[in-house]
Amino acid sequence: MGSLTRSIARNVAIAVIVIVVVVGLLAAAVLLRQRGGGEVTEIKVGVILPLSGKLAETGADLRDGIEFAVDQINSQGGVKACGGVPITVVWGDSAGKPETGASEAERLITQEKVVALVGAYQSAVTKTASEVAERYHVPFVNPDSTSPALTQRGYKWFFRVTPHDAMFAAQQVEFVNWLNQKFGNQIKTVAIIHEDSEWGSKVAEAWQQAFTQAGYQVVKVVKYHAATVTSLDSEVAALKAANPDLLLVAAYVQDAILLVRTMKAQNFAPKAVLAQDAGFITPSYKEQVGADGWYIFSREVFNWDLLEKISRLKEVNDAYKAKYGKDLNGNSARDYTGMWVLYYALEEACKKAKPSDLDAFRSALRDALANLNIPGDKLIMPWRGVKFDANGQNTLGQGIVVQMMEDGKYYTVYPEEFATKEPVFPMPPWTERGG
Amino acid sequence: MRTGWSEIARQALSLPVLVAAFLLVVTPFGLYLADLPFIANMMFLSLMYAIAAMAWNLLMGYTGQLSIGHAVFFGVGAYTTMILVVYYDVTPWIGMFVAGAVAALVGLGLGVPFFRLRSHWFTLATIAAGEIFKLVFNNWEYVGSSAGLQMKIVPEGKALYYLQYAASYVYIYVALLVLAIELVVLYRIVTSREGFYLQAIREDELAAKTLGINTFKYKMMAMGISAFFTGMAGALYAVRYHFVEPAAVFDVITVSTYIAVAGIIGGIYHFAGPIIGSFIFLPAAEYVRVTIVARFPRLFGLHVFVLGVVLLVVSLFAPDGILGWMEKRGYIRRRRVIEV
Repeated sequence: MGSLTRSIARNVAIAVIVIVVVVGLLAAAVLLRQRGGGEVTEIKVGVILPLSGKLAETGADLRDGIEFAVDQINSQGGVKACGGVPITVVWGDSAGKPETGASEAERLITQEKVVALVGAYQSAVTKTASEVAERYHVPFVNPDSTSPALTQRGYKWFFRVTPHDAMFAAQQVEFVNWLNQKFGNQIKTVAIIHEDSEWGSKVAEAWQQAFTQAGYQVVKVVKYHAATVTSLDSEVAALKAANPDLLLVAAYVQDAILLVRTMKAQNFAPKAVLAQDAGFITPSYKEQVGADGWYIFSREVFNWDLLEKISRLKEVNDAYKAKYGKDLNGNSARDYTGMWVLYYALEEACKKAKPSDLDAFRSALRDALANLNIPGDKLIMPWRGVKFDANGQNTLGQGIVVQMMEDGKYYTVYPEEFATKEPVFPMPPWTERGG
Repeated sequence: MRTGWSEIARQALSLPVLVAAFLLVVTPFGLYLADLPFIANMMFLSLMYAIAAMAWNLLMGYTGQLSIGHAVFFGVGAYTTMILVVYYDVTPWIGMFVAGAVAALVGLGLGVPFFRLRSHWFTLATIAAGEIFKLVFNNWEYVGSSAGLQMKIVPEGKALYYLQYAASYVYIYVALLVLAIELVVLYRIVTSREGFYLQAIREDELAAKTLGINTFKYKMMAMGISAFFTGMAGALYAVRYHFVEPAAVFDVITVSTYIAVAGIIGGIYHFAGPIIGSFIFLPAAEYVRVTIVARFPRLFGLHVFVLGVVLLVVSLFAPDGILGWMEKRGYIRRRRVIEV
């Protein structure tokens, strides 16, 4: 046998082996695909959160909220309409990246065969992950992203439980109207200062629109770049010159501290300052501004004193604290609520379809979410309830307005049914304060 | 001197290449049948990074110019595809190639000032370019500033035109197609006279100049081609995820650095090194992240630490990358095309 024939024979042999192996693997793949089926012993829900990466710490908080809700649901008998089967969470880590969020969504849907997805905190990740869910016709419950754009996409399978930034702006107008009613129309002009990333810019845009529409005069809008800002002297001077009755602020932590200090240094005290949570509610802000932060209002989603107002919340928080050694916060409470919302929908869906027929069940679950109407007293959030509009936005959610009082703590002042203190208005000038 | 088409065809039809190509084509189908989207996504990412790393290596391994700013071309490619489809209804099938062309133009534009800089100064300039582009896109309202752009979901009948499929398997084939085109183009270049000019520049730029090689011209050529295919890799990102945002596509770590690391791990002095590197580094990184996050959920960032240790070990024991190490041990033949 010549060397040429031998090498051809060898090549053919290798080719045959490769083809046989590949065909074998494909057959195995087909068999793998047939797995599952039969009686359903659990209802699988996929949860996508930033469990690693820069936002891992927030992710851990969110995860605790979900875990705790599922523990409670399962210990009170699981999903009763489906024969009391427990809910099982399959975790997906987005690593804080939109592409990872999308591929985790696909894995959870097709490989883990979850009935619904919950997540994903960052608006960018929620965008891609919910897009995958929309294509696969899987309900996506979003408890925690506030970009208004998410519910402007016309999706049929997307349900956002939390209020978004534009709703917050509308509510802030209502709050200012309320202040005016209470204290005799003292607020007529408004100025805005905001950091210039997507969040701050979008918030400022919404404010400008909402306040102008409500008949207030926006006299000045100032922006700055939070990552590099070292002085706000000229910004505050410009605001002072415009002399607004109300100052609206969208700031992160260091810039919020800088702003308050500069306002004091330049003796600039409008009748009220209303901030958009973020920097203003962080522990390091409260620590560093001390008494200078008194009387400043901030829009919030959650506050410690709600425990006194919402009896369900106190109960839940006590149990949560016993287990995790920390109080619920705006993040864990919202994800906790999101899981319960999904649970109520699961009970309804179980009456219409069986989880073993996955497509029919997902579709029944979508309809159940769309028709859901949960009253406020079943929730731990300061909301009027949960009811989704055609875009999947919960229309009954709302924020609260808190004000820092003279003990350095924030108290809820609005809406009235959740208020624990009367607002202090107008803000006393800097010269008339001690310290 | 230039390798003819028949030579490329002969090499392309050699058994190992055929087997590898056959496996690459069959695997996604198998993954689809077995419903294993996690592995399918790994494969897509590996291919996307392989395309970018191969392009990056034309500058690094062949021309000796280290760029840690390839996110510029990746991001520009991703955005070009996205802008064309969102604002002008141009199919990504065309958009991908336009994306490559725009990225190449950007590459040539940057090349003019950057190639006045030598070695580490060039590298620093590329890092700076990456950050500048991220900032610009973050503040550019037309492209959605920091919120980015997302494609609308189209009816299923238009899936092929808009390249919108729910499953990731389809995109693996698109990526394979791009990689195949890239391999042919790059192979033809590196085995040509120009390819040897590039290697002469890498070995000793002054000597190359003395021999009459227009070093600026050939460095620009390498830059343009490198940027073109990196832009196409970015286009694949946009096509696959239907979404772009500056934080994701201009990232100095997950784009610029990963591309370089994949190339270095595989071996920059081997034609196929970056492909091997991508197929090892990305799955390894994902596997480590997923395992560690599941096992130690409270130790944030431990996976990055583990990855760092792995990189350190590779750089200590296989400084020439995996193919370099295999060559030293005699497992593979030294390739004719890149005599060092």
